[in-house]
Formats: sequence, structure tokens, C-alpha cells
Amino acid sequence: MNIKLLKYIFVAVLLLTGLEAYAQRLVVSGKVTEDFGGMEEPITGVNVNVVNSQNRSVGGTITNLDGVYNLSIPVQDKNLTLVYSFIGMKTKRVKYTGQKQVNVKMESNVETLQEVAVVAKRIDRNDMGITQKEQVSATQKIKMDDLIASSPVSSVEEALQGKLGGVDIISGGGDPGARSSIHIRGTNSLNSSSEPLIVIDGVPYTTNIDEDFDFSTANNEDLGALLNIAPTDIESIEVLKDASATAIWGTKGANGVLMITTKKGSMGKTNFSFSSKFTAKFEPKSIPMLNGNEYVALMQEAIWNSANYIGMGSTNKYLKLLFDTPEIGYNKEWKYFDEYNQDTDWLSEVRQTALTWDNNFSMSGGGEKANYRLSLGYLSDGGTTIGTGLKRLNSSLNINYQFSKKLKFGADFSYSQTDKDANWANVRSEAFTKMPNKSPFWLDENGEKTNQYFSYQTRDFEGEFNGKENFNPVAMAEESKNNTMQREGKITFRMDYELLKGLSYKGWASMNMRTTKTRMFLPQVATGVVWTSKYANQSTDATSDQFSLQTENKLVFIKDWNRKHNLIANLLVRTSQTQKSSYSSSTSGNASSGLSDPIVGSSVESIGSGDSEVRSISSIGLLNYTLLERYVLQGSVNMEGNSAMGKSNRMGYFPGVGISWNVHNESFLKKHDWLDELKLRFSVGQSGNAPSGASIYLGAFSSLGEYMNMAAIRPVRMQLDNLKWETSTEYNYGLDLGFFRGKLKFTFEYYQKYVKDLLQKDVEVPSTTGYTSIKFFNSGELTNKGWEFRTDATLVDKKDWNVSAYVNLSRNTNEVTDMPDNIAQENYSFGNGNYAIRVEENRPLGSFYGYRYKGVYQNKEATYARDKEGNVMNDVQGKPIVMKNGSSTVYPGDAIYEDINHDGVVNEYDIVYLGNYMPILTGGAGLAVRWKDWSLNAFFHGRFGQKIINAARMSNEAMYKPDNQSRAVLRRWRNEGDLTDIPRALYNEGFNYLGSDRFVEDASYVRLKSVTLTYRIPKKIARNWGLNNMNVYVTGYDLLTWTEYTGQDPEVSIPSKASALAKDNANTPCSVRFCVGLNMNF
Amino acid sequence: MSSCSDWLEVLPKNEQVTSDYWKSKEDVEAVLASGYYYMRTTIPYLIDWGELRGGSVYTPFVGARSKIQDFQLVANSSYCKWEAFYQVINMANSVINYAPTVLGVDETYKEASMKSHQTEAYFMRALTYFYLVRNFKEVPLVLTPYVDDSAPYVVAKSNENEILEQIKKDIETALDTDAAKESYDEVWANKGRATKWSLYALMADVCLWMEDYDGCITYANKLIEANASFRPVFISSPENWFTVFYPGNSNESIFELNWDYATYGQTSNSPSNYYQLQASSIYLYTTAMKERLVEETEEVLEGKNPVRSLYGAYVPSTDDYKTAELAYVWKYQGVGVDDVNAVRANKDANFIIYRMADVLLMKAEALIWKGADSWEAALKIINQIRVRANLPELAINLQEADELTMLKYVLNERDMELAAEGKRWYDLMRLGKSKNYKYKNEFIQMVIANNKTASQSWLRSVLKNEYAWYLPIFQDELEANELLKQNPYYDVTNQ
Repeated sequence: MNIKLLKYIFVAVLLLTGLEAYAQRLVVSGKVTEDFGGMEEPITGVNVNVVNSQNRSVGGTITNLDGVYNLSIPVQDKNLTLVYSFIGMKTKRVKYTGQKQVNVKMESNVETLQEVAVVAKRIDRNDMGITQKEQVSATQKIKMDDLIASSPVSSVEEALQGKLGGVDIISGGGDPGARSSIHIRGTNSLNSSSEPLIVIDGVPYTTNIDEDFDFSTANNEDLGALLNIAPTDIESIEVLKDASATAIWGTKGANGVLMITTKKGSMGKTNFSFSSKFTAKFEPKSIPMLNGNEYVALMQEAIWNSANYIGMGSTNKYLKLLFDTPEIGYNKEWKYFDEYNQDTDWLSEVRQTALTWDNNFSMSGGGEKANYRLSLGYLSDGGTTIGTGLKRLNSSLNINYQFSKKLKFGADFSYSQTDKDANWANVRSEAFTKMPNKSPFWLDENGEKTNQYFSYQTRDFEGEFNGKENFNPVAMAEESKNNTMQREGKITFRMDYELLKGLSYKGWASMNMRTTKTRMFLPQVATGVVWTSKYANQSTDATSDQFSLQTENKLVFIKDWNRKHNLIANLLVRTSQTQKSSYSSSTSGNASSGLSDPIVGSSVESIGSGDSEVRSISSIGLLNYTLLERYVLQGSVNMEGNSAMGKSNRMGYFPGVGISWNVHNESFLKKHDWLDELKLRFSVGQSGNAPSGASIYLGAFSSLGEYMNMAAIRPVRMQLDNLKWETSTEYNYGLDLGFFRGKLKFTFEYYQKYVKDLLQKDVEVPSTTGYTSIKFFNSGELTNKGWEFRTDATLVDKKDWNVSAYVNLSRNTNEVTDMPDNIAQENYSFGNGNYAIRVEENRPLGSFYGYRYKGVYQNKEATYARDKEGNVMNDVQGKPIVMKNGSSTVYPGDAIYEDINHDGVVNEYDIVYLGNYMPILTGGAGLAVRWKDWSLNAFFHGRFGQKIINAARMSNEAMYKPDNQSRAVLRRWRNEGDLTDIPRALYNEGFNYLGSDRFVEDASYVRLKSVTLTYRIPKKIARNWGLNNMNVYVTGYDLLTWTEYTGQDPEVSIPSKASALAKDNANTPCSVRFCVGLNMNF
Repeated sequence: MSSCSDWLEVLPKNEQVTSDYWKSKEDVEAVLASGYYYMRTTIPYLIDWGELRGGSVYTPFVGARSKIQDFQLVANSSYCKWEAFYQVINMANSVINYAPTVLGVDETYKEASMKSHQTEAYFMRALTYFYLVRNFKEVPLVLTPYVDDSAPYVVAKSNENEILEQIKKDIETALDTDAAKESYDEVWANKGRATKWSLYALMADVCLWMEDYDGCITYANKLIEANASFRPVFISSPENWFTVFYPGNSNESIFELNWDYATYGQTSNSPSNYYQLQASSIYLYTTAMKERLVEETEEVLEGKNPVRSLYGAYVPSTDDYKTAELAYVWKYQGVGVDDVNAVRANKDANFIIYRMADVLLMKAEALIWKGADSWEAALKIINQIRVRANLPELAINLQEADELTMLKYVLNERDMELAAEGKRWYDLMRLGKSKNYKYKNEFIQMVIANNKTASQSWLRSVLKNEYAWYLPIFQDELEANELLKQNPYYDVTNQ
């Protein structure tokens, strides 16, 4: 120790730490540099810490602009280490042995990324402590950062669509906040939810919609709960598909599991990141509709045809209608003549070009002991229908603290608030069908539009407002209110404790509070109803509260014996309880427009409340054993109980086993270094599905009334002690192949899933029981079989160039193998527009039935009924029998349906199988090209073979009601010889639009979901701006769609109930969107 | 493990759950009350099924209901639904099975009152099955309550005899406990709830149907010869005849379903709603019946008022009863026999299931079937009824009379006395089916003679098939229960 140095230290101590350090501290100083293009450059802001033997920081500083630091060392501590850390650099540790000066040269960790990734993979254990290598089942993991970087998205569903094999995601339409449906490996239940379980940081997240939730009347809870996580906060998403993978999540994971891991804080300098994007939405072209004159001509023709059809007479109602309907007549004397002689494009009146603005900010950092991450996000999403939009604020804080090497604590807090605006009624479908000769506004003397809505509705012709249709769509879009505010708070506490070497305890408790408030207001100006109507200025106010508490206690044992034997064991108990309560009321006759608080209404229209609680508990044991890194055997058992079922059948036992063989680790293959991975997997496992609802098995007694003065109480619902789990058994066969150091990968899966004891809901029972129906009944079987294929390839991998691509394809076949007893088939009645939906043995779910459409009868002769041989059938008088559609005799110009049984009448006995809404094949593909700092990414998504009922086209071509029709009806049949597939116009008569294959279309499509061009600002420039990195991008969404489908959008959502029809009702289509944005880190 | 199961036991906050029920005697009474409540809902069926085919009462509207009187009912008609009856049975079954479990729980619940509740349930079940067996011949015999799903939902039909034996067994079980009440604390309940007396009356009726004439006489006598203070008594004074219907719950009554608007606001399903004083009433007397009523009006003894004909059983559509086109049913609308304008304030008339005149005539019919030796006793009973109606006694030379003539006398007496009380069709059926269809042709003749709406040849051909005397099983039941077989006459797939 020389004197010069001592002086230095003395001065430094005086300057930096003052008197306090006087006797107790030493100082170490130095310079931190990095190699930058062959030059040694100082690094500013490097964290320099001195840590003791427990790895606890006892002091720290950061380097100045010249990369120089001075750090005081507490003298009383022994065994000190200096730690240098900086984002993007390898952390460097130097043993402190009393040095006075330590100069450090840091290395960027970019060039070692490959190596780090490999190491990371080895220790990348999932919640059960199982690594990729020890995996026996079908899983797939996606790093969100990769996705976000290449294709900015606003929701998780959007990010995942088409990117995961076997996961079928269909967006819920173009409205902000519309909920997507997710199905993993097909539909597994008739009446229970088929949606997968979502797990966020190990905590199951309930997105399930209430059992008794009525989709038709409200959107009150329709906010996809998943939406409340900003995609930028997500680290990775893993999908678990087969039964042995989902075993650890209990029966809630029976439909597959999406495991979301959020980002955590990391040690080192505080890291800020900010991203912002701006999107403009443009709606695709809509179906062309008739203009005012064409519409009036059509209506007159249709009514005239009907007048002829029922036979001319003095009491002919259609002749009367034709004369007495000034709306479609030309009566200048009529006071509303001007308002009914316009040419209005109603749809364009309620549409707008929408803008979306999405900002996210995060901050993370920490030291050896503790780290944190804070994130804030704000999204303002505009809707393309006037009056719709969504604003979302979300925040989260994650803190981890390490008490000692053995004990760790963590806490997550998050709060999000979603504010969604929608229209009171579907203004789009109304705008589609609104008579185009009517004006949305009153006109002044000069025929100019005023700002007063024209809400007059003629009762005879247009019809009155009925809660769904017949209103002024412009007034409805502009003035009605349907606001949903959802606030959600979530707190999770975690603890990890290492009991012994290899054996650790992990536990967490999580609370989730969700409040949803809906306010609706239906202004009288939009409906034109009288003031005594229940729809006049109707206000609705609804709230619902949900609280759920979940806990998990888990013991994990991991031990490796000289890489020969490897054992992982898990034992856990998980509990969950959810309480819900709701309240709603609506009043009518509110004094003023815009009053949505029902308290001021003049009369109460409806009032309701609900209260429920659901509990479940599961105990799961899992063993995973690996021999010689080659042979993996896994077994698990789940014992689960649910409050929905009675004591006797409450506990379900669901075992699972799996084996896999890492063939590439066999000695005979080890020498081939072109082969990274060759793995064979097989697993079989069981899972269950509990009936949904709170204590659904319980019978109940309720009051019936009185017999004289005796109160009469009777069992109103049967107690279902025999209700049991809907059980599925799944076999999975998998093959993983990897070549050329990860440049080419293949994964192939084949699975069979057998579901038995299907849950039947609201089953009719013989009335000899004293009841008409019971809530649930187990009966019937179905299977889902299919395969999934995925390949990833890096085509070019050079210094400046990188091209990679992936393709995935999935096929799922669904079949009902055993018809449930007592199944209540959807009632089919003969009538226009009706299709039959049946659950039938050896057919898939979602099959529908109807007539075969054969075109239009050209002349009288064509209308004669014919027998099997094609001969005209005659009646007893020898006259030819004329075909009938139901009870209506047909005339030239009417629709021809195939008379399957040749009885001369087209009725319910002539319906045949028309199709099924399940796709034959679904898939996705992606291409990524990088050239220096530029990159281009494109994603495609496709679904093939699904049959959809184009209900929008049906109502646009029916010519049956006073609704406006599409321009296709201009080629309607008028005279013999008109070669057309569209029958004649017939107002309110006949059966010219029976549910037939005329409106069933193949909705196969391939869509360019997104294409993104990104530019990464060179590091040198970024650093000059004080940033670590920064990139800017432009993205286009849904730019191109290849399809034969004639509707607005072939991406038609699947009904939530397996036995409902898949209809395209022309909801808001997905818009073409253009987006610019930037991401930066500093 | 058990604590875990307890934790999973979540009871709803807004419902009375099954496991919490059956804890007090009030719980038992409330389910019993539901049984009576559901019995009220069977009233439209009791009238349709008991009257329309008999031809004394008909429905003037051509529609689904008139298909019953035209013998054209098909399986998808809602008029053959038995749902309401099985709801009564489920309540009765529940009380019979669960009342004993309450004994140990509710200390104030004494065994005697538990058994008394059970006798009411036995009566309910027996009576309901008796209606079912007379209308469907064979029905599923359900004796366990469906409070939970332990019993199978689908049950096959039992044969007629099995059901009848079960009915007798229920009544005997009820009587054997000796717990059946003779009277209740509340006045209405003496007639409005099942008593020992109603069990006797039902048993007499069942025995008569089963052609056990001694049994019928034995049980009828238990009523006729009773001397308990609260027994039902045949009202002999003509002036008091209408008190049977207004205000109701008369001494003569044995069991009647009660309604009371003034105190409890109850009118729903009361017969007053169906028998109205207008041409558009759901039910009217047929022409044949109107003629009989006019005839009886004229037969009334000099200086006396008609009792059970004009302004008793009926009122004419116009003032002159002889020329009036229509006859309206008066029993459930009037307040007395004197004044056509004296109409009930509310539509809450009771529906009489059994009364003493009915039991007396059952006995008379049994005596006739028994043989000529007991015809004199039978004639005495018939005349007892006639005298009360201010009618001359029947003067019959019993030596020259035959069984059929005698049966016709008693049937006619029942027709007039019990008009529109839901009895006529079963009376005719007894004539048609007893003694191995001995008087089948006479039965068919009588149906044809009274029927106002269907053609004679149609009726003759239909009624030749005895299964057509019964109703079809409702289509939905066949679909929900694969073990059920349709009544062969209506089984389309068999033709």
C-alpha cells in the first residue's frame, strides 16, 4: 500500500462520504469500459454494488459520464464482492480483497445470446418444475416479446390467432371490446363451457360467463376479462393441450390451458420502456342495398303480387295496404311526403372511421435482494359504429423480495378499468333494413335536413319499436347510451421456502375483485313510441360484483442423481371460491333525455337481483422420472371436488400417465450433430367437467300459493344426487424433430378425446315425476379426434439477413357417438327462415338441416307435382296436382324446394342435412424477414370447410317484409323466362325463403391478419438520444382476405351453445386497420 | 376429507333447499297444502273428462276441447295431459315418505298428527289414481316421491287391477291407522280436507267400480249409519238443497275442493269460471239433458217448488223455460233456487267430489247389481232422493222389473241429482263395462242419445272398441318415457 494511494483514498473519503466514513470505510474506485467497435468506450450509469457473503448489498453507486466510479467499502464486513451490472451487458463479479482501484471491461451479452438461451432453456422450469426436456405432453410456448415486436396487437387473443396449433380463435367482430371465442381441440361439451382455462403467473383466472347469463339481452358482462391485461406486460404464453399437461390445473383445465407469464423486474439499473401506437380503422365495403326508388318499386310489386296471390276481392287486405300506405305511395298531399321521398344510405349514416390510441409505460429494476416492475397502460379504442368505443386503463406492480437464499416473498398488484360504450340496440342491422326513401331528420320548408330526428314510425307498415327493431338508427347511434364500466383489482401474495435441498414449499393466495356497472338509456326520440310505452325514455342501471379467492400450497421435490436418475415430485392443494352478486333495475318515462339513473323514472319496468357462490378444491400429485436423460415417465392424479355437485358424486378422481423418449440422447445418435431433437411422446389422461352454476344439484322448495289459509310449498326443483362429472379421456401421440441447431423444427401431434356422461341441461322428464324438466342430466358420449402440425424454419441466417417462417395446421373431427337420452332437440317448425339443428348420432355437433333449393318455378307446368319417376301426379278428377310449399300453393316465380318424399307438399318431412359449422382445417402461417435494422413480418390465418348460414343475405333477399333489400333482388323473377335464382317478391305470403341450402355458404377463408415493417434505430444513434434501443413500425391488419363467402366477413363467430346455429347476422365486420407506433427502452 | 366436503356444501341465500326442508310439522302441512292446491288445478280436466263424453254437458265451441265429446281426441291434444294429476301424486308421495322423518326433528310434532297428515295424503293419492285409472285404464304407478333423483324417471304402465288394488290398499292403510280425522278446528277444513268420511266415500266408489257390491254397501253404510257428532248427513229438507252449492261445505258434503275469494282472494280454477250463464259459456247442458230438466220441472208435486231442476241445476236462456233454447248450469253461479238474478258475487264456488246423495245412490246401484232381492231397498233410496227434490215417488212393480230398467232408474236419478258435478261419464261406463260388458250396447245407445255434436254412426263404430272409452296418453309423455306404451286404440304405429 503506497502513500499516494492512501492520499487518494483519504481525499476521496472526505469528499464523498464526509465524517461518517472517517473511521469505518475504505474506498475503491475505477473505470468501467466496454469494447465498442475495437475502441474502449466508457459506460455511463453502470451499477456498482458491493455485496456481502449473503449476497446482500452493503453499498453501491453508479459510474459517471466518464465511466468512473468511487465506492466506499464498509470495513467491518468480510468476504465482499464487487458486482458490476448494466442492461445489455454481462454482469461482472470481482472478489474484493482490499483493492483500491478496479477497472472493469464489460462485455455485451448480445453475442452470447445463443448460449444464454440454451442455458435458460435448461433451467426454464414450469410451475411443476418440469423442463422442456422432461415434458411428455403437447405444449407450445410463445414469447410475447417476439410477437409484440413484430405485430403490435391490442389483445391477447389477437396475438395468438393462427399462431398456435389446435387453438381455434375467432374474433367476436369489429366492435371495441368484442370477446373472441377460443376453442382448444374442438368442442367437448354440449352445455358446459368449452373455453380454455387462463392461468396468469400460476393463478387461474376466471373468465367464465355466468351460467344463466342471457346473451340476447345484455352485454353487461361481455367484457372479455382477458382483455384487461396489456399484451406488452406479458412475457410468454404457453398452451397446454392434452390431459397429462393440463392435469396440474385440475378439471378447470379440461378444455386446455393458456398459461400467461407476465414480465418481472430484474436486477440492475432501472429500465424504462415506453410504447405507443396509433391506429386508424376503415370498415370494408358493405353489401350494396337498394336506393329509395328501387325500394319503393320493389315494395309495390311485392304487395301487388300478394294481392293477386290471395285472390282479388273487395276485402283484399293487400289492395287496401297498397292504397293506404303513403310511405311507399306518391301522395304529395301527405304531411310526411318529403320525409318519405328521400334517398338515404342509412349504414353510412351510422358508420365512422375510428381511431385507436394505445400507450404503455413500464419501469423495472432492483438489486440482488429485491426487484420490482411497474406498468401503466392506457388504450382508447374507437368503434366504427357511431356511439361505440372503449377506454382501458391498466396498472400493475410486481415486487419480489429475497429474505435469504431459502425464503422468498412476492406480491403482485394490478388494477384495471375498462369503460365501454355501445348502442342500446343493434343499429347496424336496423340501418341495413331501414327503408331508404325515409329521412333520418325532419326536413324544413326548403327540403333541407334539420337537426331534429324524424322518429315517426307508421304502425301498419313499418311496425312499432319492439325492443329490437323498428327505430331511427341514426338517433339510436347518436343519442342512446349503453355504457359498461368494469373495475378489477387483483392482489396475489406468494412465498417460496426451501425446506431441504431439493425440497421446497411454494404457496400463494390471490384475491380478485371485479365490479361491473352498466347504465343504459333508450331515448324516446330514437323509437318514436308513445309515452305510455315501457320503451319511452327507458333507463337501466345494473351492477354486479364478483370476489374470488384462490389459494395454492405446493411441495416440490427435484433431485438429480448424477444425471442418471432425475426425479420431480409435486404435491399440491388448491382451493377456489367465487362470490357473485348482481342487481339491476329499469324504469321508463324518464323526464329528460340522457337520464340513465332509474330512480327518476315514472314507472319501474323490471327489477332483479342475484347472489351465488361457487367453491372447488383439488389435490393433485405428480411424479416425473427421467432415466439417463432419455426415458421419461410421468404420472399424476387429481382429486377434485366442486360445490355444484352432491355429496355422493362430488369427488372426481382423474389420473394421467405419460411417457416420452428422447431418442436424440441415445448414444447411436449423439454423433450426428445435425440432429438436435428427436422425441417421441405418448400420454393418456382423464379430466372432468363440472356442471356450471352455484350448487346446481340442490333441490329447492318454494311457495306455490295458498289452499284456503294453508300456505302451499312444494319442491320446485329436484335434488340431483346422481349428477356427476362429465368425464373425458384423452390420448395424445406426439413427435418433435429439430435439425441444424434449431433452424428447422417439426412438431406433430395426434389425439383422441372421448367424452362420456355428457351434461344435458334442462332435460325434459316424464310428468309422472311431478316435474316437467330437471336442471342437468348425464347422458351421451362424443369424441374429438384430430392432428396438429407445426414447422418452424430459419431459411437464411446471415449477419445482415435473416428469413424465417412457420406454418401450422390443425384438424379436428367431432362426432356424437352415443345419443344422450331425453335430449331436448331444438324445436323445428315449418316456416320461412327456419333451420333445424339436431344432435344426431354419428354426426358432429353443430349440424343443421333444411331444404334443398332448386331455383324458381318458371311456368304453370313446372309447378305440377311429380312422383319418383318424374311423372306428373293427378288428383282423383284427373287434374294435375300443383306443388305446395307448406300450406301455400305455388305459382310461377315461387321458390322450388326438392320434394324429397314426392308427396306434392314441401314440409318438415323434406328437410335434409345441409352442413356443419365446424371447420375441417384451421391454420396459420408467418414469415419474418430481417435485413440489417429493417424487418418485415406477415401473419396469415385461415379456416376451411365450415358452413355458415348467411342470415344477413337471407333477410336481404327475402322480399317478405317492409325491410330494405340488397341489390341482388334487382334480378328477382318477374316474368317467365327470367333466368334467375331469386324468386318473385311476395309481401307477407308464401314460403319463398324457407331455411334451405340457398343461404348456406362455405365460409372458408385465408386472411392476411397483419403485415408489419419495423425499423430499429441503430444503437449508436439511440445511445446519443439517451436510449438503449428504439424501434418504429407501421402495420396493416386484415388487409386481404381470400374467400368465396359472399357476406361481409367470413370470420363468423361460433355460437356459445353447442346446439345453436352459426348464423352470420352482419354484425360489425373486422375493419381494415393501419397503425404506426414506436417502442423504446431507456 | 369430511371437512373438505363440508366446505364444498354451499347453500344458496335466496332459496329454501331440499336438505333444509322436512324439519317441522309446518313443512309437512305446506306440502300437503300443495297437494290440495294441485288438486284444484285438475278441475278443468275433471269436468272435461267426467262430463263431455257423458253427453249431459257439452262444450258449444268446435275446437280442441270438443274433440273429447266427439271421441276424436288424438295424442297431441293438451286435453289428455295428466301432468296436474301426477303433481298431486308427487305431493302425496312426499308427505307419506317424509312426514315420519320430521317426527324425530320437530318435538312438537306428535305421531298422531303425523299419521293424520299421512291419511290425507293417502286419500289424495288414492283419489287421483282413481281418476287416472278410470280415464286411462293403465298408467305408471308411482309411489315414491321425486324430491331427489334416486328413483328412475321412466316408469312403465301398471295394469288396471294393480292400480285399483293399490288404491284400496292406500285407503285401508289410512283407515287402519285410525288417525284419519272426523273434523278439523276450522269449519271449511271439515269438508275442504280429507277426513275419515271422505275415505269411506272413496272406498265405496272404488268398490262399485270394481264390482265389489258388498264392499260398496259396507263402506256406504259406514257413512249412512254413522252417529259421530261431526258426520256428514243427508239433508232431507228440499228448502236446504241449494245450501249444498251455496254457500257450500254443507252438512251433506263429504269432500269438496274449496275456494274463497272474500277472505283469501282465491278463484283460480274454481268451477264458476267454467260454467257461465251465457251462450258462450265453456259448458252448457245438452239438448237431451235440457229436455230431462224441463220434464223434471213439470213433474214437481203440486204446490211445491222445483228443487234440483229449474233454478236448481239450471237456468233457461230465456224467461219461458219451456221454449228456451239453452240451459245454463246454475249450481256454481247461483245463491239460491228462487231468483235468477241472485248470482254469486265472486267466482269461487267449491267443487264437490263426494256428498251424501252420491253415496246413497252408489249404495242403491250396488243393491240393484246384487240382484232382485235387494231392489226394494234400492228403490227406497231412490225415492228418498226424489222426495227431497219435491218429486213424486217412483211406483214400480218390482216383480215385473228387470236389472236394466232398475239400473236406468238409478242412473237417471244420479244424472239429475249430480248434474254437472263431473260424475256422468263414469256412471255410464259402469253400466257399459260391468258384468263383462253385459250392457255395452245399451251404454252405446245412451251415449248416442245424449250426444249433441258427433254423428251416430261415428259414435257407434268408435265405442265398439272399449279402448276408445279411455283417453290417449299425451304425446310428450311417450317421448320423454320410452317405457310408456300408447293406449292401443290411439297407437297409430300399430294400425
